[in-house]
Amino acid sequence: MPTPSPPGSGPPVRRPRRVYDLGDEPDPRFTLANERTLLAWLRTALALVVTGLAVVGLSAHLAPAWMIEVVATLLFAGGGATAVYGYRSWQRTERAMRLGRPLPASSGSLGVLAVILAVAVIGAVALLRPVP
Amino acid sequence: MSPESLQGLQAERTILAWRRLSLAAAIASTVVMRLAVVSPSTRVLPHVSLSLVAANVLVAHHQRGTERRPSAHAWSGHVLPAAAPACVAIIILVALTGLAMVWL
Repeated sequence: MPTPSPPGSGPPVRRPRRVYDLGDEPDPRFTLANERTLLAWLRTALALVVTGLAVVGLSAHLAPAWMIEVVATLLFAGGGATAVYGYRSWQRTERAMRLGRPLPASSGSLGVLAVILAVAVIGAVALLRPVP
Repeated sequence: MSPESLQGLQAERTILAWRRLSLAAAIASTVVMRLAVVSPSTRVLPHVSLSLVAANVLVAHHQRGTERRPSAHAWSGHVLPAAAPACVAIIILVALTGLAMVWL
């Protein structure tokens, strides 16, 4: 049984309003699942960015400078893009749920896959190159 | 299983997901400090930023825990906390710092 609100306290403002001002309230379970998906994207972004920092930090022991630059750039750009994509994807999905529309297609996994594959290939080249 | 129990489990999973993100940020922050990335001055920003992510997430986690209490209008305020956009901004900041470290 809900507790009555204190006098003078209206309903809390929910932000972002461009999401919460639309449509009807979906099942809380779906909203929470959408939130967990966003958190998974943020963890992926964090992993990519921190791996980039690790590559820069260990660059003296790893590979030629150009390889470090390319790998680190891929990881930093991929991490930033993943964070933005995850947030935008959360907004699109929440809007679709509130408006009763089909959920939007997710294409972000392909981008993350491309970054990881590129880093793996460059890493393999760095490992297999002849040591001068 | 009743719908209320199912809903409770979903909220529990969400709280754990926030906690995982906090843990990941805290570990990342420690790793950045241990690696001594480039120079002491440039490693401060990633460390501080990642610590902020961890703190942000803890706040959000606490908020989620409060929302779960029946006395706090359980399920009426399942709002994505402001922590999520802040985390996105901080991750982008760390990524830009990293790019600057590589190219400048």
